[in-house]
Amino acid sequence: MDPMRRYILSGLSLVLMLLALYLIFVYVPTEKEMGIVQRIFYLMVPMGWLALLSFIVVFIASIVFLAKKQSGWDALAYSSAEIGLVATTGALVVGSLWARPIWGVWWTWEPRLTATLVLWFIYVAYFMVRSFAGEESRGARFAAVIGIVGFVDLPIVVLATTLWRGMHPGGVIFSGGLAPSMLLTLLVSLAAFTVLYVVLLMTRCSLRNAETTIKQIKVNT
Amino acid sequence: MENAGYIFTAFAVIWALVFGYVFFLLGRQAHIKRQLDSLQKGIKEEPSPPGKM
Repeated sequence: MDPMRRYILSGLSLVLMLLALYLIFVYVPTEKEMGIVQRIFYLMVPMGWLALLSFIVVFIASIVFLAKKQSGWDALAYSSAEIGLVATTGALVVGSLWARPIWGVWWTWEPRLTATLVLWFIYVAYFMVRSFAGEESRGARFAAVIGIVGFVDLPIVVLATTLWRGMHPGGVIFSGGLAPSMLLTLLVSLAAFTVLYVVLLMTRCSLRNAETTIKQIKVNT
Repeated sequence: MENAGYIFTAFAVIWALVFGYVFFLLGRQAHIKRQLDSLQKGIKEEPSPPGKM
């Protein structure tokens, strides 16, 4: 990605973030039952979305990497997994901060929370396998397999509230249960974090490619 | 403003994660630059083969 495009996307991300903060703290009305703590929802959903989006990218890039054996695809999968791990950590921590005042507990083994925790462990395993594989190319192959197999957890995370009816509120976004002002705030927040994801992914990917190139130069000289 | 502490903590955590990751990327960038400088230095110091300038 050329620097100009990256600057434009970074600027767009900043503008959308500021707009999202304005909407979350000034524009959107306070929810009647949950009170001010419901505003965590506008962070929790984008974090969950980024965790899922990251793993979709990991899944696709891992398949292409195993098929074509081009290091660029591995760099894409690695970069996306790194951001996905950060986002999943954020979703779990923020979810816990939401659960304490609403459910009265920091953590419960509720289906969606448990599936999200499993997703976090899959991301951790993705990096552990690379570290322990020894040879870089072997680690990349093993990690790609985890990136593909681990994808199985994604539908479980998404459908957990429908399949098992846990405590987690599900389907509120698509069932029309959100007021228009709340939906607008959520969509802006989602857009802000998605653009941020793209900027971080492109930056990390180019750094990862540079790291790989330097390693190859060192091996060949 | 009951439970306001939770919402401010949630935002602080997310921003700490985002900025932490951005600083991590800046660290990686600095590391790559150091490696490139070291490679460049190595190339300059390498004696040129006989018959070549």
